Amino acid sequence: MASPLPFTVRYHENNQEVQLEGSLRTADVAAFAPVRACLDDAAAAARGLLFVNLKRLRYCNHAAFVQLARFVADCQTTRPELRIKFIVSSAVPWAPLRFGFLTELYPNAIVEQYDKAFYPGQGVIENDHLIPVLRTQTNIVWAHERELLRRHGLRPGLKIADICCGIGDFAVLLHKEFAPEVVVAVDHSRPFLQYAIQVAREFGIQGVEYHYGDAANLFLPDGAFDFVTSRLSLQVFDQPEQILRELMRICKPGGRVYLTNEMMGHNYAYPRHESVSWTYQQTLKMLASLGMDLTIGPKMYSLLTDMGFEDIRIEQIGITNANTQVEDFARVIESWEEYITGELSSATRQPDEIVERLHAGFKDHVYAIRSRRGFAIWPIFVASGRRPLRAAASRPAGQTLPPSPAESCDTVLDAPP
Amino acid sequence: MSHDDTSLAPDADNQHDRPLPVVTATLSLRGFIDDWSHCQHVAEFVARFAASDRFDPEQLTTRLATYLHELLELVLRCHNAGEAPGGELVVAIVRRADRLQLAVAVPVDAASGERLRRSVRRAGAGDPAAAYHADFAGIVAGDDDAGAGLLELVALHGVVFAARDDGDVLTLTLTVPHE
Repeated sequence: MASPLPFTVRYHENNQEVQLEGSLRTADVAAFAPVRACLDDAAAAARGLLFVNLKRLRYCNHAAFVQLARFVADCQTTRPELRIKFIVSSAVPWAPLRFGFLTELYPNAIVEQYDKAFYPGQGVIENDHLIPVLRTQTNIVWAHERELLRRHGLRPGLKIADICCGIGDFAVLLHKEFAPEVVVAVDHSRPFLQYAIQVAREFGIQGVEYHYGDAANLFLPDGAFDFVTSRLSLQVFDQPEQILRELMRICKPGGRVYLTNEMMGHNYAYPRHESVSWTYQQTLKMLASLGMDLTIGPKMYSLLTDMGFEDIRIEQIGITNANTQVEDFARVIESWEEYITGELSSATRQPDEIVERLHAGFKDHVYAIRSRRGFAIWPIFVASGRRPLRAAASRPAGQTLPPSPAESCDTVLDAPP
Repeated sequence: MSHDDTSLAPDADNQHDRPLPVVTATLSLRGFIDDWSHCQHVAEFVARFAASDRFDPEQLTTRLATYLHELLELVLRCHNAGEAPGGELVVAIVRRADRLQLAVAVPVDAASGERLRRSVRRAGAGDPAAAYHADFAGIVAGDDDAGAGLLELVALHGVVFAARDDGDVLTLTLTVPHE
């Protein structure tokens, strides 16, 4: 969907960071000169470590790569104490290969695969063992969500992006229920996407495009979608504002961004509520240590407001054993138990006694769900906001909107078309 | 230089691996080399077309356009504007069982043919990874090195390169996995 872009280079003095975006395919040294000038200025001003942020650079020809290498080589001579850290994304296939090679030759060059560093819990949440958890969850939530989506502005014929689509089943359900013009579904897990494409093929679903990508740096054009969804996903990132800013960018002015997130601290079950409550409080601590905030559900109103959305709507889905198939609900909790006492406990190095107590808490939760006299609730918050019409015209292509308060844009050089 | 994998025609002996033509673009060579941005436009258009119905079209487009751009750049750099031979530049992508082939067939005269053949020999000879590693400091320190991009594709990106020399037309083929 993206059209060819020129490149943009910016120097953020506060961060000692040069940011390159777009398509850097230069014919010769002269065409690279604006980039080199920006890099030289940055190197002259920087102390210790200079960041060269390439995570939004989709294309770079070999000639431009050689010029970047020449800058590194020159710095080795002129600024031997300065190290240059290239930040690349795994969503751009050439970048880790090239800059990995560069670090073998130049000791002053470092490469960091941005998405692995940015999402500390990603290795845990992208595991394909989670697929059964996600499938069961989608089935339960969809029963409530299919009507609720209409109240948040979804109707047939729209262009929809489902960011952090996981195993893609929500995109398929949207496609069946709302007959959209197109659904683009993006996730950062290859096992999830492989599963998604397999399901779409088996069900004969046409019109859903699956993309591998980084939710904080999407290679999707500005203002391309009428309805942008991101479900149960902001809660697993430690910088949800950054993702939300990107969702806003790809949403059309006047379109809506739709989010769902949990408030795990409010998971409740009776009887045995002390054990169940302890289990979820402990789980929240473990998740927080990996940068995830599963209490973000009710905070979405503030997030959307701060980001400048209009007509914000928020409500809560209460999934209970009284309004949901008991066995489905119990299966979700059992799949949580497997994940939290297994991979999550290993990743956060929980002692055996804590893991045992977690097991007991989940079993108590399932007991309450299945008990004739028991009651259990899993609250999910649903929020959406409209992207304002007025912000569309004044923004340069490719820049996130609104700019992060932490960023200062000092130099912007656009390549000639 | 390998000469055994450049044919885009069906192979009667191997029905499972029959090439399926996806897209072919035929361009005036003189018109193509007239403007640098043509490399980008052609690479992007052809790659996007070939990736459009595939798993993860955006990432496949990025990969294919990256590879095609280097090939087209090489063609452009090896021809002098205003002195290029007439004829047509053909850019094609075909799909085989488990891989895609990107082919560029380019008319050459004596001078451009010599430049192109030098790059082709370099990318096709011996151990390209070792050659690229050994040459890299020189590439960085030196002036414009037309063939370095092709060598890098083979050395770093796992692309299989082959070429066919028909005298006045050179066909350069890159073979890459589907996903």
